[in-house]
Amino acid sequence: MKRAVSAQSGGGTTYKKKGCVPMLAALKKHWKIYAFLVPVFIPLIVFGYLPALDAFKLSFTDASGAFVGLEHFEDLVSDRRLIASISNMVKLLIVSLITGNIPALLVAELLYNMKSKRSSDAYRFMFIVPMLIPTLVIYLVWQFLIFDSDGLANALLAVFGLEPSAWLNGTSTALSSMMLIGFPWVSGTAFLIYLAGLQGIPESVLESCKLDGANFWVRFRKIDLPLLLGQLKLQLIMGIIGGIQAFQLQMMTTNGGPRNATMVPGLWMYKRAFEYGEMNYASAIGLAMFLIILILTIINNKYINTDVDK
Amino acid sequence: MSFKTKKRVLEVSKHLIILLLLFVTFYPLVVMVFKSFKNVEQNMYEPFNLSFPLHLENYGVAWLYVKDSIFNSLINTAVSTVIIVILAAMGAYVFGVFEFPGKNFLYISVLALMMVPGILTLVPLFLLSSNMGILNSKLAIILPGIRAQLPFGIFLVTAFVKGLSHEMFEAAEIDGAGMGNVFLRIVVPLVRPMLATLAILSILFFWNDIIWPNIALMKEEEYTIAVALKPFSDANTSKTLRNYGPVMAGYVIVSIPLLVAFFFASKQFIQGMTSGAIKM
Repeated sequence: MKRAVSAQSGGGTTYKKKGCVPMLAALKKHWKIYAFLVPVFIPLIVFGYLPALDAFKLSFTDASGAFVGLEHFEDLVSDRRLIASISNMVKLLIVSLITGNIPALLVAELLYNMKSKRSSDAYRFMFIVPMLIPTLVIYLVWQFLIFDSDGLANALLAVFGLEPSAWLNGTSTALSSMMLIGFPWVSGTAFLIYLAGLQGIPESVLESCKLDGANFWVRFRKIDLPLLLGQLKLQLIMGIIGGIQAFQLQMMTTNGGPRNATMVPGLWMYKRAFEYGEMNYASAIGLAMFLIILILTIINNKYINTDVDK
Repeated sequence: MSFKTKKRVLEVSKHLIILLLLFVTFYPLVVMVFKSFKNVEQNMYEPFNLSFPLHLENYGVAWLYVKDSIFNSLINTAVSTVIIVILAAMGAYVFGVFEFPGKNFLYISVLALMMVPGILTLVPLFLLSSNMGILNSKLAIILPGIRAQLPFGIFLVTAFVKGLSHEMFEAAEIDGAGMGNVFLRIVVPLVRPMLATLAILSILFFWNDIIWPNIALMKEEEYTIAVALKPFSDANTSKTLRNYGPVMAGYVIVSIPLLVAFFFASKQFIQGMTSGAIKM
């Protein structure tokens, strides 16, 4: 029996649906392929596609399921807390794009240019270790150990004879304190990605650069930066997509406070859904944010594709 | 200054900058460990040094509180990761090896899910989980987690399968081995390095996910570390208690599993951490 099947499906017809494979055998073969995909697609459909479709449905209906048209979106435009939270989000996003990449790039360059390979590798290892501490622990260490009223940050201020600050608990200081979280911001995958990118620069390029007597700064601008552009752009895109919807830091530390000083759209959506119970309105916020992310992704992809083709 | 000394100064300053950055990065974590051994008085008078006697009982207090959540996190992470790895390998085998009607459509619908941001589906996912009755259970973390990690997993492993020589699959097929056999005996062993990378990625995701567990889990016995640690911190650091020792001990305890795993498989971890973002 086995031999019969293999005789039928042999001769180049095994993988491409070409030639005259008997109908039954073809069906049987494809049936098996689709059967393999069933367990793959069940979780994707149930927990991926259905909720995504549901988000559209919820955004245009009220709690009873009745169609309300664009009502939620009209409310959204006049939601003053939401509008105010956008400016917080944009500020945090811009700062995080800088802090998430410049120190990482700096450290990657320093390690790459280090004479001793052994110390370079040892340092790399050391910078990876903090990435394995759970994100939540890092947040809480900043909240309860650094920004605490008796914490490290105030102790540092005292060294310079300065008054203690309220940090995350002060209306005027909360947002900027939040930007400080993670200082010096080297940990994170960005540093590993840049280092791998630098190590991928062909030896010949570097040799010719050395012969030309280019100093570090020239080499960085003329060789490293252009060759790291792909990594840099991806980091920026992922940073923007992540930054627009991010609210776990707020959820765990300030809860958007004090007095909404650290409120961001994602957290506001969460509060409308799970504290106010307005699932439909919250869905509309989510859908609006999705559309913004989608538009930005499309714009980004356009630019990236043209650059790669060059 | 001669050229040589200038170069040496430059080299030394590189080390100094790195060491300074490492110091600033690690110092709070070191203080965290110091504080984990303090009682209330020690923390008040010597907040940042190691003070004796060490109050090891803080770890006992913290362990009592975090042990269930660590156990839950470990179960959720392990079960989801195993399922994600198996399903990604199955998907990659089908998409990477075979030609069949509807293949492109199906593959693109998997990849499209990578572009759906979590913020869009957060509320519907909650309503769905509520309707299914899986809120406050491990399934509430495992099933949506599979959906979150699987598309990228399939993408990652399919690319790898496509790069393999297909002669081996064909030879096996000619020998009469069925799909299940080829999958288990040939595909899985060949793609193992990619599956290891995917497993690491998935472990990091489940260990670090904060928002969804905080929405889906309201029962204390199902809390993962992402949910349990915050109320524990708030309660012990309140104005009246100011008892930071057990809180910091809790942070140390929940940090240990990944660190231990890293020391055993640092290569896979680094691969996993960088594969999340291949350059474009």
